Order: sequence, then C-alpha cells, then structure tokens
Amino acid sequence: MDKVWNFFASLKLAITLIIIMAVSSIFGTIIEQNQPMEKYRQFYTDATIRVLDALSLFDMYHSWWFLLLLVLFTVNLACCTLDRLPRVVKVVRNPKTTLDEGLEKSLGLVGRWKKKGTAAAWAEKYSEAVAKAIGKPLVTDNSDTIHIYAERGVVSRFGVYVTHTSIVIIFIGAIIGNVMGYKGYVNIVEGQSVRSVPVRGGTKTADLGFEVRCNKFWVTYYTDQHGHETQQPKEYASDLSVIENGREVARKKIVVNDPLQHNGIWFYQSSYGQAGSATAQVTLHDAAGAPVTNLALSAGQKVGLSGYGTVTGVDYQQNFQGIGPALLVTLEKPGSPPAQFWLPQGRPESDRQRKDPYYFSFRGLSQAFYTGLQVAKDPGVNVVWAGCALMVIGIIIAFFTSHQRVWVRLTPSPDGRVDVVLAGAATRNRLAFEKKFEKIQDDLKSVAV
Amino acid sequence: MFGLHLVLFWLSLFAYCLEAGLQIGGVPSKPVFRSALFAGLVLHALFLGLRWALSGHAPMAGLFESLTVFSFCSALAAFLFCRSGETRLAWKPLSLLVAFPQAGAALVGKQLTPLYPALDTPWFATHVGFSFLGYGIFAAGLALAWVYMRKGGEEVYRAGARSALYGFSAFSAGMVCGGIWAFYAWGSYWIWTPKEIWSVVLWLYFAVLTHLKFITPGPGWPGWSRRMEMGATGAGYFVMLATFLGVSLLLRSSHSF
Repeated sequence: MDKVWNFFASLKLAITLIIIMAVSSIFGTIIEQNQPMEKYRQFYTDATIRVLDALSLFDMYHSWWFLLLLVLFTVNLACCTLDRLPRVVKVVRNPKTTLDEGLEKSLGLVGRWKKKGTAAAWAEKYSEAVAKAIGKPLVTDNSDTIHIYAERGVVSRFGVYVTHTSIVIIFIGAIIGNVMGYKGYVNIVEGQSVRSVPVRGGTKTADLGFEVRCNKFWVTYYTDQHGHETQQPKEYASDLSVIENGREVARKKIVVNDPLQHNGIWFYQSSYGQAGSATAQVTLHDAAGAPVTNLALSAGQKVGLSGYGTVTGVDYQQNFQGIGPALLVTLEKPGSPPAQFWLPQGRPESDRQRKDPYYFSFRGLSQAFYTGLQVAKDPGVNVVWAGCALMVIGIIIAFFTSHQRVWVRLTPSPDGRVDVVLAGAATRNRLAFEKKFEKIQDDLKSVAV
Repeated sequence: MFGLHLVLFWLSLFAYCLEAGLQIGGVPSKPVFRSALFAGLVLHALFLGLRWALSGHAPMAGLFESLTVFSFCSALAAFLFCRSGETRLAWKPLSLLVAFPQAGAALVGKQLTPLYPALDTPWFATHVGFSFLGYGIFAAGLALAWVYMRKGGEEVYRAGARSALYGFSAFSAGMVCGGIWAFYAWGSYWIWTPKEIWSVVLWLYFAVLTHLKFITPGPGWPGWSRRMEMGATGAGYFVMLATFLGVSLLLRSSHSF
C-alpha cells in the first residue's frame, strides 16, 4: 500500500506525466485534428493512417489515453499535496524556536559578537529590536542560555499547495462541465424563437426549458474620415427575449463579449446571416392619405389586394434617375391593362398622380437577418473560476511572499561577558533578506542597555 | 499625431540599437537609468501610450503591435531582473533581444486598426499584457542564462531562476485572463486549438523546470545541475517563440495576426 501511495505522491511521476503530455500535445498540433479522412489521405499513406488512427491521433485530446494522462496527473497532484501538506503543517506548528549548534551550522546567515552585561538584560533589549524588524518574538529561557525566535510570512509555505490544489479544482470543474453541460449552436431568424438547440458533436438536441426569441439583429460598421460606412464591422448585436409560459421574463441586447445568461444557459453572439432575400416595404393609402395596409413584396411575387387587384414588385434601383432608391411595381386591376410605375422612396406622394382611389408608397427594402448563437451550459464553470482565482492567489503567496525566521542565542561567556549569536533564514528572495539581516545585526549591535 | 507617435517608435528603436551597439562594442556601461536602453524604454512607453489613445484600444493587436510590445516587455525585464552587479552583464545579449523584435516591427505595416468587436473587453489587454510580460521576462532569462553559462556567478543564477518563476507567474495570469475572455466571447474557457495547446506546452515546460531541482538524484533519475537549469531557462525562450510566433504564423488558430 505504501508503495502505491509513494508512486502516486512522487514528484518524478508528475514530471514524467507532464513531459509525456507536453510532447504528445505537440503531436496533436502537427497532425491537424478532426479533419475528414480524404484530407488525411492527401498527406499520409494508408498504413500510416491506420497506425495514427489506432493511436487516436486524429482526435487525440478526446482519446482515452490522453484523458487517462489528465486523470493520472490530477490524482498525482492531489496525492503530492496530501502527502506533503501534513509535514509542512507540523513544521509550521512546531517551529524550531531555539538555535542549537546543528541548526546554526545549517544556516547561511549568522552573526556573532560579545557584550558586557547579563544575558537577561540583553534578551529584553534584543526582543524589542527583533519585534520591530520581524514580529513578536518567542523567548525561551534554558537554564542560563536565552533563545529569542521570531518569524513572519509563514503563509508563504502554503502557497505551493494552494497553487497545486487550484489545478486539481480546475480539472474537477472541467469534468463537471463536460459531464453535466453541453455546447450547441443555433440560428434564430428575427422575430422567431427556439425552445431547443442542437448539441455539438452529436445528433441530440438539448431542451432549454424556456423560449428564446430574437427580436432584432443588427450590425453596425465603422465610418471612415469622410463619414462613409466602411466594411469594417463595429458591433454585432442581437436583441433577445427569454419567454417562459408565454411571458417575457428577461430581455437583453447581446454583443460579442457580452452574452445573455438564463437558468445557467449562456447565449453568445457568434455569427449572423441574411434570412431569405430582401422584401420591399410598401404601404397602400386611401385617397385621403390614410394607410390602409402594409405589404412586404418579394421580387416577382404577386400579392393580392381584395377588391382592388394584385401588385408585384418587379425591379429595384439604388439610385433611380438621381433621386435615390425606387421600386418598380406592376399593378393589375380586373378589367384594365396592367400598369407599371416607379415608386421613389424619397417621394411617398408621387403615386397620387395616378388619380386612383388608392395609391402606393415605398418605404424601403427590408432584409431579415438571422442571428447565430453559441449556446453553452457549463455547471462547472464557477468551480473553474474558483480554481483560477485560487491559482493566482497561490502563485502570489508562493513566489512573492517569504517565510523569514530570525534566531538570537545569548549565552554567558566564561570571560564574564555575553556571547551573542544571531541567525536568519528566508525561503524566498534571499538577496533582500540578506540586506534586512545586515540591518537587524547593525541594530542589535548598536542597542545599549 | 499619427506621425508623431511613429517618430517615437523610430527613436526608441534607435536607442535600443545604440544600446546593443555599445554593449557589443565593449563600451563600459552607463548607470542603469542613464543608459540608452532606459531612454529607449521611456520613448517606447510614450509611443505605446500615444498609440493606445489614438486607436482607442490596447496596442496589442496585429503583428506590428505584438512585436513592439514584446520588445517593450523585454526591455522592461532588463530593469526588473538585471539591475545590479554581475546581472548587468546580461544587458549585452538582452539588448539584442530587445532590438530584434522592435526592428522586426519596423518592417511590417504600422497602420492603426479599429477595435474588432471581439477585442472590446478588458480581458484583451490583461490577457495579452500578462502574456507578453511573461515573454519579456523569459528574454531576461535567456540573457541571464547566457551570462551564467560563460561566467557562472551566484547572483546571476538567482536572478535567472527568479526570472523563470516570475515569467511563469505572469504567463499563468495571462492564461487565466485568456480563459475568462474566451468564456465571455465564445462560451468556452478552453478550446483545443494549436495556440492554446502550445500555451499549455510552454506552461508545462516551465512547470517542469521550476520543479526539477526539488528531486534528489538517485538510481534511475539523472542529476539536475545549476548549469542544466540555466540552460533549460534559456531554452525556454525558444519554446516561447514557438508559441508566440510559430503558431500564429505557421498554424491555423484563433490567434493568427
């Protein structure tokens, strides 16, 4: 049992696993992943393809052996932490508070001097100085030898375990997300709604449990220095509504980097496109000018107007005779020959010249869009964020704080004076601590009883 | 203003080349804050600040801005890791590592780019900023490793080892920010594309590097000397280059320029 534990708690295993993961990952970037077989046949012989396929190298990041590596690494990391943490806790809870000879020899920073007076009197003075420089000292009186010990930044010892734990937490969050969540993609035409989305990497669809409606999609473009629109998109946006039991419960304009979230399901602006071809927006007015009905004409499609006739959109010009956009329509009334005439958008009253009971006005072309939404449910994402936060905290603690310890030993010397030994150690940034140690030494030496 | 900010760019390139020339020519180094490198860094900072204001987004998009920010962070690392004593010797190789990407930037198109919708988030500047800070520190690591290989020295070794730790820290922070950004932009904090994978390879490389010295050598496990550690620290720069330039220029990815 011990052997198994030691195997999983070993740093050598960790390093071996990391190297295997890194090297195999590189292979995965050289062999393009998840391509159709025809594409691989252009580059490799059939025999090579069989070997690569057997090793799952065409989809290696989801292969059993790569997942096994990830799981092994996570177990290894957890075991390393569980193995070492109790030892560190023990060391931290029972610090070496007296400076014996063995410890003195093991420390790089040691200063020695002699003082007239008694050990007790100096101990009191030195305690004050050490308290100022490091922290509240612990004074141990061993018959006639007095030990002073002070430490700070003990949390530094735990930084590395916080960091390692954070990686395990991130993996756990990733597993939760993969098992319990899904990713999908859906197109919604303006004005329409969906209740379910097709899930990526499968034939299943996921039921949302509510309806999402795209009220509107729009794309805006940057303008150049003359105020003309460029081809450079500035913003893609969808106006989305969440509908539960026929009631709108949430509404949000989503843009890239600012998704909508409802019941743990996220909707991301991903793409867009034109839904069908453009329609011409035409209004029918009575002779007094009051609108009777609004029509959406598709090119070449006859639309009936009961009791009046049929109207067909025939042609559209962006700039008709220099007066801007205009629509050419054909009007067929029973008992009279078809009439064809232009409806300029900028002159809505122009059709009055036909002197009919009704006249048309053209309000412009309308293009319906669909919005392409990335849909994701990831119940593990907050666990991953917690792991990320912990990782940053762990790294700051591990690399940017230092456990600093200072010992002072006062022993009565045979010549009637006091032998003073000052020693120090720091786990990080030793250069800075050396300077600090020098200063403490100078301070102690210059203190007078 | 567009012209002025490019003048600052060219001046900083000139200062970096001057520093590299003085270093290679063996001219004794000036005090840290009276050096050509420092003048270059200040001009470079003004250039980046002005470009940020002109374009309305962090100057970290596209090949030109990537290269010049890389150069800037490498120069910054000289002042963070190679300020005193023997570590100043690292300025000789480091000034070249600063001048090269800046010279490379001089060769490519410098036009301002509008803000793409995907870049319109604070995670863009933090993700790229932290990553490049790490890259710059790795440049200092290569320079320090070069000095250690030729001359040794306790101070150089410590600075080199610290550069690996700090560069690794900054790069980790960059990856975390990238994950958050990806989640808000695409709905997934992680995707298996070459850039992400190479980032992990780089991260794993430095993870191994920072842990190897804690293993006591024994049967079946080779020893790990300081020379080897410094060699690996220097080599880390090239793993970084593969991640930064190799993937973006050679492989298809979400990070192509």
